[in-house]
Amino acid sequence: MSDPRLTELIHGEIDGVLDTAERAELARQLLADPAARGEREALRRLCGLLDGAGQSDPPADLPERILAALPPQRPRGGLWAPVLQPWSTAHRWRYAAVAAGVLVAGAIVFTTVRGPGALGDLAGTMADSGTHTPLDEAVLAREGVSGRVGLYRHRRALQVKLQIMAPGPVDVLVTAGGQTRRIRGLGGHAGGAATTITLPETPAAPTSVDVTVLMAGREIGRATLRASGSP
Amino acid sequence: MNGDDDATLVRRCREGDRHAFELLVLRYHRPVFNAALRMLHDRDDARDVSQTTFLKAYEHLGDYDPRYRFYSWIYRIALNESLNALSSRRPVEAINGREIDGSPGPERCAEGAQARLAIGEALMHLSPELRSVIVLRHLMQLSYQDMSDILLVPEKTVKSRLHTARQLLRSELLPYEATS
Repeated sequence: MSDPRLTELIHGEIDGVLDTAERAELARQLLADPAARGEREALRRLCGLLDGAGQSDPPADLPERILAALPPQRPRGGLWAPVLQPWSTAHRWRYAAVAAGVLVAGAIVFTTVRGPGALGDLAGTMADSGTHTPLDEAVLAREGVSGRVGLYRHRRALQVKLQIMAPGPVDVLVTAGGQTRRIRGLGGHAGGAATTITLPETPAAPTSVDVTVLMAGREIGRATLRASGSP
Repeated sequence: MNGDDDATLVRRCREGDRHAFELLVLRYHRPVFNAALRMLHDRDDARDVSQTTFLKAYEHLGDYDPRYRFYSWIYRIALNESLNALSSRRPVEAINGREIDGSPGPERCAEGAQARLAIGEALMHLSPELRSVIVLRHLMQLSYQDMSDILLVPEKTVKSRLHTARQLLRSELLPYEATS
């Protein structure tokens, strides 16, 4: 069928956008042209098939995953980018309470993959009382992995809080002050649980912390968190 | 779709009501996921794009113009994110042979699933811009005007792309047309 006007009328009829005059025009052309009638029927069947295909069910946990990846308040930054400066007082207290609770809950085991730090320096820490000041945060939503990484100051030390949801275990590299630590096995069965590490105090406090998320040995996200505020 | 309700939820969200955004997620995660699925033909990628879509919507609610429908805005984000995901894909091997033989299955639901699979595969043979109009018109049931708003092209272009896409799909889906 080469008549563009007839083509437009047939598609328009299928889409329900023809007015009375156009419907009459189409009817006249169809009456006079058997090929056009065949074309119209073929297109109607195709569109019926497309319309009737229906929708697939999304993963049952999709809403939870979406919501888990949202920052605590609407940020100005982009994806997997430092966000949320400054935070409200309410958020500061809420996160301080959460961070303290998580720290009290247990120690974190991780290993050094680069840098001079002794294993003893890298052992997980137990929180003591005091204020945890949020400094920066990044969010991740990529390849089925979602979560947040927050940087806090607790007294003179920096702390990194990781909350990762993933279908399988992911490793996280945390680099600050020339040292890199690898936290293994986040996500998976432990998905959503928060993990907090305290960076060892150094004479020259790091101004930023690089965080890299790996899944099956492949990098899927990276962020630089700024510790720009003074203690 | 209830535009007034969406507008109210967006306004509440912009005022700091996080729960309002949760309601928008519950309302739109299914169509957003399905739009991404039709664009990408991969459930994992569609899930990732859905997450990114809502995260970007949340981050950029301040940029949203309430004169337009919220669903037009979020579908546009979803399509853009799908296109980004497509452009970052590594080349994959062509599928060997068709999984669909064209014969109707014994169960109606199986027929529906077969047709969905065939449509999904046929859509992947279209260019992304032609695929987009089919997704918006036939999956999301949107008007030419909505499609024009989402794709940022004139209605005339929407119609032209839709006509072309349908003609191309006809030969791909001929066996299913006969049984539909």
